[in-house]
Amino acid sequence: MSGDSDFDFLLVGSGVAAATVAMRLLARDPRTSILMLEAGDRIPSRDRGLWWDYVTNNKLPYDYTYDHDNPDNDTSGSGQSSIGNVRFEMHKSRITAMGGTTMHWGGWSLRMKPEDFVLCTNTGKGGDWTFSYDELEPYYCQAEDILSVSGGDEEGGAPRSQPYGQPAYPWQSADEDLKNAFDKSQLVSGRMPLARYRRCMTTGTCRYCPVGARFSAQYLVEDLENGAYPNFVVRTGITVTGLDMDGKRRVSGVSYLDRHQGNAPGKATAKTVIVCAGAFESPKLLLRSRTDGHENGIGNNNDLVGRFLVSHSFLSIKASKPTNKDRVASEFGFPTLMSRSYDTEEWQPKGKIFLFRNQNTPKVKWEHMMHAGKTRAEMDAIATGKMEVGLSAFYEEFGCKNNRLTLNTNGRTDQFNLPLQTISFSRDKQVKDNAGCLLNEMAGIMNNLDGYTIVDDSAKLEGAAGYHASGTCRMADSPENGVTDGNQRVYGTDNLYICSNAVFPSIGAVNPTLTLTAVALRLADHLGACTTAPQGDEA
Amino acid sequence: MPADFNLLERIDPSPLLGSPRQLLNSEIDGLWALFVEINSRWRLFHTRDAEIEVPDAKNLHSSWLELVTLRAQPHQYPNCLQQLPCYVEEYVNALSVIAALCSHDDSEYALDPLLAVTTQPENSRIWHARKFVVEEFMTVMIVAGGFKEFGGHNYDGFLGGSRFNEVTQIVAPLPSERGSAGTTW
Repeated sequence: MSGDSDFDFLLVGSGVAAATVAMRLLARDPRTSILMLEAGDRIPSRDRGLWWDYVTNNKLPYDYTYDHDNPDNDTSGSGQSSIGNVRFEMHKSRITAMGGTTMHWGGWSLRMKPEDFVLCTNTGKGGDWTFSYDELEPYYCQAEDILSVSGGDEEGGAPRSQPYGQPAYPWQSADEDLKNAFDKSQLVSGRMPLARYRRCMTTGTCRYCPVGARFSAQYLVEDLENGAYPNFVVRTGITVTGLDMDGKRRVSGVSYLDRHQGNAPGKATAKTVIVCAGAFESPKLLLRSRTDGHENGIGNNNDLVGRFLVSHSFLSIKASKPTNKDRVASEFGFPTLMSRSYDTEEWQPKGKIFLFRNQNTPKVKWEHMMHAGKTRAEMDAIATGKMEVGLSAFYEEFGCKNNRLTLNTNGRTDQFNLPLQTISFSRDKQVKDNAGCLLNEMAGIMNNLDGYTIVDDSAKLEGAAGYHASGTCRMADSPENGVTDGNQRVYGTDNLYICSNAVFPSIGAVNPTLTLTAVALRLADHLGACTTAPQGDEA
Repeated sequence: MPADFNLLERIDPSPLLGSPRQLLNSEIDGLWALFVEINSRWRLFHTRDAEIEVPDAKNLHSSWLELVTLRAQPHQYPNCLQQLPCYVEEYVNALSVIAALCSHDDSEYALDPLLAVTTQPENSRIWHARKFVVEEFMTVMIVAGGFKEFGGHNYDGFLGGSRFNEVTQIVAPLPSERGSAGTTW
């Protein structure tokens, strides 16, 4: 290994997937040489000045990394473009920085359920995983340890072989009315599993934790940097622009631009390359890498790269009552009450939903009232006045071939030299009808809130957004059905892997990060078990 | 306060730029007096007594001082596109605004144009003092504990301590459990 050459592994990206793979490989052999390339910067963490800026001005040190949406859906415009019958919002849905999107995630850490791995078999929609829940279950346990997940007994949740390492966060007083409505509706109430270290002080400022109590992959990467791993190298400001091939099947490394050195071009080589760049940049990197034998991009001989884009839709409804005599207010910055009663095989054909109390209700921003000139007496009256509770849900959508991302044809790049994209995303009538049916179910629950009335026009199916995006390089049992095999190796290559939500053939109704961590552990074990560079096995 | 100081002078809307430096003790005292005045008007922290109610913001001093100190001397972050603005000039401006207001009115209502009024002429010096200093101080007052006045148990930004209630409860034993030698507690 010298300079950027001859590493055992080259990881594109530094989010939870890359960090977990690196951690596992280094645990197996501390001498393993790993080069981690991150297009974004190293955002200062646990900085009290930055935290105060967030508390007082709602400004985050990574705001500048967010995508700029193109409001006109103009495919030649300056921002990310969205076409199709549903606008697809990218702004604030991901972070380009060391640690990736875990820099701002909420830490909700739920397992998918066994039926999610056989979605296509069960419903004829979306895709099946190439392995079962049972195979991933031990990795889920380890992933929960890595993310430091707090959770409790979860009746109706995914089966588990080990208890959580930390006790669940308690329900809050603000959960009480909705919990009673869940009971009346015969739903099982659960406690949200959350990735928080024991030092959590429930500041509610989880998007920038002042004490580093919410798991972030940045901490994991920095722990590895500070560990006894002489051959582990992380570089930020490095935008990988293409995968370099040595022959038709072997990837020799990557080409990049070094943003911190005036966009100086460079190359890095490795025996194995793992693209851990999320559900948007991973397929884009494959599409950009056009070489002999891969004229449409690496892994794209069947025109599947970038297709089957899935993201959670968001359902919400609110109810209110005239007084709040007990002055109930949401206490944490995250929900503690949830239910998986509609996250079941029975609901799978319609699209499962994962229910939780909207953590922003009931809540009042007292400082904003002071800013607006409200008197103390007026603020007191508001504290005991109208009270609102929201019920929200992630709604599973199924991968459709025509929901896809492509490279923006204008060739323009964003602030990190990453190519802009065009997203084509549509919902058919059945998806909308099913959402309407599920919103009716949610309204039924809200009608069981004692003393509340559903707020007019509050039942909504929100537009699509990049949160939890997946499926764009999905795994499948053949190159005709997917981009990677069951070990996440890109079809048509010997040593190129994808480790991202992009490989998920389905996403269920819950947040994907815990599953991604488990998948990354499984991949690392596969790679670590290969005593020689792995070989492809398909024709 | 400069002799030609005009609190209605229009200036750039972004934070006033200045070089980071340690605030003078007199500046800290002046800003703290402003914080205390805000508290006094909203009565968020006070000593309750059957006979008298005394506004008292002293228990917020450390939180408040951390804010103004870090605002005046922000760190520089290498290879990061986002940097914190330095508020030294904003604090100097706010103190000048207060001095100007007090020079025109020596009554208890002198600071009303800054504290009671919410629509200062946009981008003026008094608007800057309101937006970058007064409103931030109001936010500190709420998140550091003022929310409790409205019945809240927790609030975004409140460093309330561990969520684990595992501290051993220390209670005085019942008389019958006390030592026969009459241990005092």
